[in-house]
Amino acid sequence: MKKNNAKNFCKLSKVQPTATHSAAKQQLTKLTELIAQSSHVGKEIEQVVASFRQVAAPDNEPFALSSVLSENIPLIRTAFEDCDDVKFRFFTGKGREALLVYLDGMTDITLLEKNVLEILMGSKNTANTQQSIPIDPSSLEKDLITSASMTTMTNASETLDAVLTGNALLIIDGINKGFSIGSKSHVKRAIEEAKTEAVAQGAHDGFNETLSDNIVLIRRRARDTNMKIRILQLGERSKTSIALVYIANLVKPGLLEEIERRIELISTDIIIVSQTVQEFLCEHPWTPFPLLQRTERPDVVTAAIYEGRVGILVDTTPMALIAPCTYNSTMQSIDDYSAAPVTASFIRLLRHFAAFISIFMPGIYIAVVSYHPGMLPTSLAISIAELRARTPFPAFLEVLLMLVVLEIFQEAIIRTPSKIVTAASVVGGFVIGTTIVQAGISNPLLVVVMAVTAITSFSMNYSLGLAFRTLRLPIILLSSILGLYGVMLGALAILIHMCSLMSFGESYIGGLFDITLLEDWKDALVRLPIKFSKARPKQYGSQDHMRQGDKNG
Amino acid sequence: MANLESKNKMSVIQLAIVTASTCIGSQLIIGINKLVTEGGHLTWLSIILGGLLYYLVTLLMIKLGNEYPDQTLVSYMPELWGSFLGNIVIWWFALLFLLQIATILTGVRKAIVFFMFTRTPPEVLALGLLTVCVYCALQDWGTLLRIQQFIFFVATPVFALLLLVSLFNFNPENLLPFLPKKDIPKLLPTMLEGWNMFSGYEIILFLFPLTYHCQVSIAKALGGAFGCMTVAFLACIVIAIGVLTVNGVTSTLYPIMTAMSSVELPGTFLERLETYLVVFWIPVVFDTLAIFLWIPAQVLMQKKQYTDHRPWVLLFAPLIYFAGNILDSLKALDTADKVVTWLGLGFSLGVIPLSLLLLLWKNRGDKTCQK
Repeated sequence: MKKNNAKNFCKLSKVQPTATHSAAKQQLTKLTELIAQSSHVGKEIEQVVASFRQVAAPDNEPFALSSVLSENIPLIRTAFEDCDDVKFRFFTGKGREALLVYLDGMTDITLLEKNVLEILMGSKNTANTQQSIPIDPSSLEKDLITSASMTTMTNASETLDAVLTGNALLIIDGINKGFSIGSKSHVKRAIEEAKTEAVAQGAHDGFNETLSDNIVLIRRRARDTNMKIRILQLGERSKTSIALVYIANLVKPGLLEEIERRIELISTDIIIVSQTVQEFLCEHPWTPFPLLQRTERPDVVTAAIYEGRVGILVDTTPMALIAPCTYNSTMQSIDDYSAAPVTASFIRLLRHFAAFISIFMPGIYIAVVSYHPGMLPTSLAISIAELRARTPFPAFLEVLLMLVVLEIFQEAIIRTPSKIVTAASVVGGFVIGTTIVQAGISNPLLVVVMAVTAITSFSMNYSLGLAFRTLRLPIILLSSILGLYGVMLGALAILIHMCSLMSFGESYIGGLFDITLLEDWKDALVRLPIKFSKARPKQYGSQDHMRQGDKNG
Repeated sequence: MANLESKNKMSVIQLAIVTASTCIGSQLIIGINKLVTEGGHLTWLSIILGGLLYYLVTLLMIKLGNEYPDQTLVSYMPELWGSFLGNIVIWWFALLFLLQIATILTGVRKAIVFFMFTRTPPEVLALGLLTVCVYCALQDWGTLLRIQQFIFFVATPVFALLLLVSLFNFNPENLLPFLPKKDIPKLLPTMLEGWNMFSGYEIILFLFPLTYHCQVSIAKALGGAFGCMTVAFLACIVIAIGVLTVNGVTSTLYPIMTAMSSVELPGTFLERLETYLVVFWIPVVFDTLAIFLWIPAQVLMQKKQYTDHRPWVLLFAPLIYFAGNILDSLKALDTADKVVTWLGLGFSLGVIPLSLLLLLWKNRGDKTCQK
């Protein structure tokens, strides 16, 4: 049998005289070519199948991503037409055509080179450059791209957004998906002291215009897994990121849902400042009072969320919002907790007194001078009468004039370049202040009154100070018509208005002198030592009323 | 905001504060003269007895409220008295407050003109105060409650403090004789006249369903409120008589102001203390007027089954203003005061006890039926 078998096997050349070595080599080359062609045909068939499978872009999408790169390119180019800062980098990586799209100046190119281009194109040391990229996007994400942040996206709008936020968009031929490679890097302001809320003894870091930095500043203050950060997007065109920061097991039930509901109702194309969000969220857009607490300080936001409130951070603005907001919370400062309780209480009371002065001082001046000079000691009344005899205007016009000058001066100082602020202050404060008296336009007492009024409005939260500045005018009008009676009517009208204001279901003034919130009085007009304030403010309705660690005294 | 808690309810203590701050109002300044004229040296005693009498009426109101815990008088008075008489009681209640506002507003504007202005027309002053009161009465109960508390804790103590400055001119001898026998017959009329001082406690009938009960009993809390009111009125009367004597008080329209104007604090910045007192009296009067305006508006809202009380406030405002102008003369004001007093006394000492008796009688009838 073995012999028979051996006889059956013989040289190929004997059976087939044409099958020489060279001929076989030729045939093999043909076969290799055929295999290569079939692979190419297979790829094309794949693309055809993918394009057959491709559905039309949904209504809210600009286009649908195709698996054919050459089809995607004009679509993306059209979306970014006339956007010269959008860069397109074509390359062939691992046997496939690929495209990297990124925004010049907002993307870290070194990261892209290292995490994408070197990996896909193959560095000098990499041998398997001809290996084809796996079609499965998940294996691409798992095995190849080394970027820490990578997202696979199927929607065209998502891919465009990814580019606009500073990430790089990777599109590979044969894959009808885009990959967002985290490589944001843009110019931003460093963490500096809060411009409008400087403190003497507290922390000196303030928010900047970058949302991620601001979130970090809050995260650094509490290593708490219950601290949740929910990021939403606002603005039809700007797609500004907004972060809701809260403590999951403290936030008042229903508050977060209500904030989200109101945010969903916001319909605007662009969000430039946090005030826009505030105006959409507030129940009373016509009030001068800030119904959401505005702060530049991460410690204020952190303290607020641990009271059961919600912080709202808006990208591109350093002003965070806190909901709900009360008059009391706005009047408090971080410095109150850095000082001894007695001192802090004294300063707080002083701040409330300053608030009163900043609204009513000019009105009281008009009332006393014009209607009730008898309330002054005789010598002072005579002295004021003498001073006023030199000025041609009635008290009301005199005050109005000075008020206008003061407001213009304050506005000018804010918008003056910092290098000439000192010069402007000297000109405004000394020169105008002195000459206005010497020219007989105003009297020295009124200059003192207006200066005190101006200073007092700076002793509190800037937004609240602005509200008080707005209220001066109606009080001046009332006092010029009805004297002190008018001032008191004005004060009552302000009180009614403040008591009627609500911020996310909480009274704007409610905690103040509300007998049912007696516990909260410990940290309201005055501040008792921390050991007496074991509970969170009852007013904000936090889920856990007692501060952790204080339960056992 | 359904998931966030309602802020329109109040505690028993808050009800007591609201009652006290509503009752302590205009009469501190404009009511003393009439009361001392009536009671002479025994006015102090009549105020104490008056306080007890009206607290007794309040206890009856609490009893009535407990029988109908979730209802105001608008819903249970027709049940008790029948449709016709029940409606009369409701209108009586509303009218009582509306007339009081008109008389108080007139009295207050006269006092303000007297002490603060000489040339400003009183109508302008009344209009100003009424406008603020209307603005306040247009708000919901939660807002009103916060305002009442704020005024009670801020304006009322300052007012009381200023009032106590009069003690510098206090002469205890002026109070003597302490218990003159000749004035004893005047005790009852003065007690009844004293209703003017305590008027406003009737709001309890309406506010009872808005109150949630806590550890302190409602009777005790309101007892505290009446104690507070009695002390305040007593202090005013004692100071007025101690500074001016009984004759002085009866011959002065605004004795407290006159007593205050005689005070001088040498070495201080303060002069014309009566002006300060008037300024801090305005919020004390304001909170009374605002509640007095809000209550009838709410009553009519419920009566006519409206969902909003604001149209009624806006309807009442011009009526009150014109009624105030009609009462401008002292005689008209005096007559209106008398009418209001009798209406109030009739309601407090007639309608309330009778309603309770009616209720007890009906309950007894029900029990008999059950047996």
